[in-house]
Amino acid sequence: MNMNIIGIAGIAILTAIIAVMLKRYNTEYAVVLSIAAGLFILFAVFANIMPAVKEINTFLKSAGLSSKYTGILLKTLGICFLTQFAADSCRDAGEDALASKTEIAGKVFIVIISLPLFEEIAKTATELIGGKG
Amino acid sequence: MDVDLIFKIAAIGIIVAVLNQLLTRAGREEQALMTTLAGLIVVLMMVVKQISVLFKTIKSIFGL
Repeated sequence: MNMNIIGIAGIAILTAIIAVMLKRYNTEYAVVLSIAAGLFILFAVFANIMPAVKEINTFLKSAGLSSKYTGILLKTLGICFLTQFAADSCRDAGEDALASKTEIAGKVFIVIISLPLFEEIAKTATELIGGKG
Repeated sequence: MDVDLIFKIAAIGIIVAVLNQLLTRAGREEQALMTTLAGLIVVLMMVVKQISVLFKTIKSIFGL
């Protein structure tokens, strides 16, 4: 699973060529093929990102940020990855409307997840002004 | 996940395309359609398994 960037680039180009060839005969196979290649590349990325996430976690912990905020940050990143993957797959299949709806859903979920942070900012702002928050 | 999956899907696609052409030329449109459908379901089952693994990985890494 430990792929380098050259391997990933090769897989991407090879899959693109095969997908273009398949598209002439049956489009749905080209879509599934590109989704499979995307899955492979994402797996390669996540296999390498796992230690990095742990490192970032310890960094943020030593910077004095509470784990609540790091959790929200990582959750938002995960939602971004999922939404991008789903929307791109839909766009590949020619379903632009479905792709944009998936993106809207992702944005809404991110706002919902980060609402506690907004609350925190508002509380800090009222404290700075001197009001009774 | 292995690179073999991608080539497997490509191979299934090419075989199904050839079978589809053959059956269509032989005047069996319904069977050509069924072949395409069966191949698509097989490929989808393979991909869906990997998608589920991907979602589980994202869940565990980002703590969703």
